[in-house]
Amino acid sequence: MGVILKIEDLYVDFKTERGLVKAIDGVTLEVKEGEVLALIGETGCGKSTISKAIMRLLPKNATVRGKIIYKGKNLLELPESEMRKIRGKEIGMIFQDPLTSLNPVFTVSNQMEEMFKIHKLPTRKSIFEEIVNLLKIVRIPDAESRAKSYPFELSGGMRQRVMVAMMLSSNPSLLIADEPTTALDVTIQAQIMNLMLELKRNFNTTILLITHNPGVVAEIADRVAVMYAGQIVEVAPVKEVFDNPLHPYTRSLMRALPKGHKTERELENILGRVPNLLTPPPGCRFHPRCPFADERCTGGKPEIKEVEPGHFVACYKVGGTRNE
Amino acid sequence: MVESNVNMKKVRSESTWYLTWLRFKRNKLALVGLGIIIVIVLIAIFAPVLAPYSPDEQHLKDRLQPPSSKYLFGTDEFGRDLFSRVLYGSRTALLVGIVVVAISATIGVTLGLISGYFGGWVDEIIMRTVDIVWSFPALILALAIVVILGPGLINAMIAIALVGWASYARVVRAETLSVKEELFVEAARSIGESDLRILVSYIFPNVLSSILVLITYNIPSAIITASSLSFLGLGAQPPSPDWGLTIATARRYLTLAPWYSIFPGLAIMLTVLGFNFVGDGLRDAVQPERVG
Repeated sequence: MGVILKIEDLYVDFKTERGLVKAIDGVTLEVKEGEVLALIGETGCGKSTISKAIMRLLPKNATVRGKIIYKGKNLLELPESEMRKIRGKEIGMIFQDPLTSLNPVFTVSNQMEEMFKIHKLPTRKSIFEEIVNLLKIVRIPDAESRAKSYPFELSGGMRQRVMVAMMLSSNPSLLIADEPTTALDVTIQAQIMNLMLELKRNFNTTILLITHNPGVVAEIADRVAVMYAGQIVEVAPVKEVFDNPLHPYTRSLMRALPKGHKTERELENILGRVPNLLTPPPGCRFHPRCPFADERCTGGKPEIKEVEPGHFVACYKVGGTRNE
Repeated sequence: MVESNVNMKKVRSESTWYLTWLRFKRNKLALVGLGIIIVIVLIAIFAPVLAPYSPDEQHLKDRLQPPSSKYLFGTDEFGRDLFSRVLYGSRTALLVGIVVVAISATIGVTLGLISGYFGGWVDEIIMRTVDIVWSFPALILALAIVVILGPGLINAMIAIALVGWASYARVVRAETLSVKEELFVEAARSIGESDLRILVSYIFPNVLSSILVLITYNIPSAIITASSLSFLGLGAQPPSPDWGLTIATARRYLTLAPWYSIFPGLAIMLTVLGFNFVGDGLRDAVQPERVG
């Protein structure tokens, strides 16, 4: 499997009135062709910032350093006009809140037409027929009349399907799904997830799934990258992350998960709080909350290393914490 | 199945504008205003049919006649039928309303969109200009501009528009600032839409309702300002049947022929009232849908 997207040493800072927020601190990550990579972490840890950095949709007060290499091109160096051709066509994006991600004054078909117009997509039939066909693929009932509906006439799940159908129209190589199911009911969540899995199977779409929901991760991800306070602390195949987490943060995270068969156990929480990114702790950003931290952890940022085949961890203590 | 298809058709017709109309319709005062506007528009269109005399036709034997069955609103100092002149005056009034709004809305909306969307120094320049325009009372500034351009109806309209754009710019900028943060704008950028296209197809349609409300308030205020300028002799020139100009002339005969000034005054009042009622109704009808 080739690497479709490679993020190298990415830093993102936001200039704010209270100072510089160091939101992303040296992130390196590879997304392999055809996989579902889940980027998981707490709210505010920088997951969405990474996705926006890839799409170059960060607000003006952000400064970005590093490289984001997509199919051999550094996206951060592309002129805006080239970048526009990549957005939507090469890299698609699905957002957290389907209720507001469609233009309220456009009908569904007007909105989907935009994709065809911007990227001059080939059509076999009329654009409208293509749209109805796409809506049928994402299982929207009564697609003809739904195509003529306004977004506010559709339910949240239906609108998220429309977003997926929109992405289908250009068939992007990489789909960034930023918490695509957070705003939806559990039953609808599963349907949307299945829809995305179908996409992956039928069109070999690579999916970067951003979520804070480990249940969703377990269901559809191939690999998982765990983020904490703007740093990637662990990258591993999904089974490894759940069965054999190595980084102390991942381990605490997994212990904080409810498990159906262990109801007698009380859920643990992670002591301390997420650091303020205006003044992040030096070295490993997790060290103030880490039970194993020593002087070394406060000194320098641990490099992310492959400790087992395919299992990367950024922690000085990995050997020690595993077998205790 | 057949049943559900019927329902779908019904749902489809409920566009945002249709829902706005349903809410507007419930407001009785707004409907009265709409009625007044329709009547005035019809009068303006059919003035030649409705008017018993030509507005310029002089009946020198019947000067300053009080209202009678022959001259419904009486006559002026040249024996011209005031009823016919008031009917024809609606044309000037509506023309002023339409032209002023067209110019000031075009300038104001464009600048407001640019200002709100791009921000930075462009925003700074545009908004400081707005501040300057707003620091003068509207009529005084319009007066100054007309003095520079020279008196006349066209110049008066230009002057009023050059004052009026500022409120469009400010309202549209504020709306743009909030709409551009909406997720659907980010979603639009994420599918590769250009800035221009986002402004035209995503932001503009979503600020349109506030623009419409502003327009319905702007038309009557333009009519009043134009009448005031005409009253001061800087707008419409004789022998135009303009309402403001008529009142200005009537002032000289106030004790002799009070009806002379009353009817054009009533005409201005009714027109302004009609537009303001519609404006209020529209504002109330547009507001609730902005949430969803």
